[in-house]
Amino acid sequence: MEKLSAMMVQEAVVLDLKAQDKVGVIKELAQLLIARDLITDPDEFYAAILRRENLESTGIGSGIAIPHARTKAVKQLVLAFGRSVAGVDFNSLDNKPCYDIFLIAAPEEKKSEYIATLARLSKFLRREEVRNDLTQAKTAEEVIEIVRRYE
Amino acid sequence: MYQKVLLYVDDRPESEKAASEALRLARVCDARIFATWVMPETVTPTALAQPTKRRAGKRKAQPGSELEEHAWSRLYEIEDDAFEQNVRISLLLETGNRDDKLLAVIDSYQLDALMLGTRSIAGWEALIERSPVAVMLIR
Repeated sequence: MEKLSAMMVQEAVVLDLKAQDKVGVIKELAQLLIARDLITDPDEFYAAILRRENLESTGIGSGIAIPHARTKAVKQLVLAFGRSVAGVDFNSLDNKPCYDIFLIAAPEEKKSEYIATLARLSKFLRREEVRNDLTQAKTAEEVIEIVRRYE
Repeated sequence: MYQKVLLYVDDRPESEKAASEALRLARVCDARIFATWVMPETVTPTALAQPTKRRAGKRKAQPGSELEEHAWSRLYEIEDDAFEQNVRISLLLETGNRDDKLLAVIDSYQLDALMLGTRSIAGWEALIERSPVAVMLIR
C-alpha cells in the first residue's frame, strides 16, 4: 500500500480551519481537492461523505475525526488535513470536539486500499506523540513530514 | 426492540457471521451498532486465531501495532458494509480484559444487547453471567 505521507496533498493541508461545524470543515477541505481536480463530481462526493456523517460519527475520540468517502467522483486515493484551533463537534463518542481532521477521498474501485488507509490512519492517530506534533506543526510541509516520520 | 447493539468483533470466522447478523438485526429494528474490538494488554503471536474467510490468504497480523491495524481494518470493513446497508454504526477499539471492556461499553453507552460469534459457549460463561443485557451467540 502507498504510504500515508504520499497520499497527502500539500495544497490540501490547512493549519487554521475557518469553518466551525463539521459540514463546513468537510467542504473547506474537499474544496481544496476539487481545486486540484482530484474530485471530478463535487456534488456526488459531498452526497457520499455527508451521508456517511449522517449514519455514524467519524470522530474517533482524542480530538481526531476522519471523514471519508469512496465514490466514483474521486480520481485517486488522497488525504487532506485540517486543524481547528477552536475545535469542531463531530459527534464523537467521547463527546469531545475534534481539532485534527483527516479527510479521505477514495475512488469507488479502491476498496481494499481505502480500508487499509482508514485502519493505518486510525492506528497512527491514536499515538499521543503524533497528535502532539501535529498540534505544534507550523507549515503544511511539517505536517507531511510528521506523517512520514511516524508511519 | 433493540435500539443499540454491541457487536463484539474478533478475528474468528464466526465473528464475520455475527457481523452479518448484527447488520440484519439493525435493519429490522432500526438499531445502531457499536462494533467493538478488544485488544489484550499484552499481545502475543497467538492473539490472532484463524483468519476470517474474507481475510484468508492475506498476511497475518503480528503482535502490537500490526494487530491494532488489523483490528481497525476489520472494523472498517464492517463499517463499509453498514454504510452500504444504511445502518448506523460506531467503531470502538478498546484495550484490556475482554469481558470487563465489553461490560464497560454496555454501561457507558447504555446498550441493550450484545451479539458475538462463537461455535461454543465455552469461555463466554462469565460474560453471559455478568451481562446486564441480552446476549446473542451466533454460530
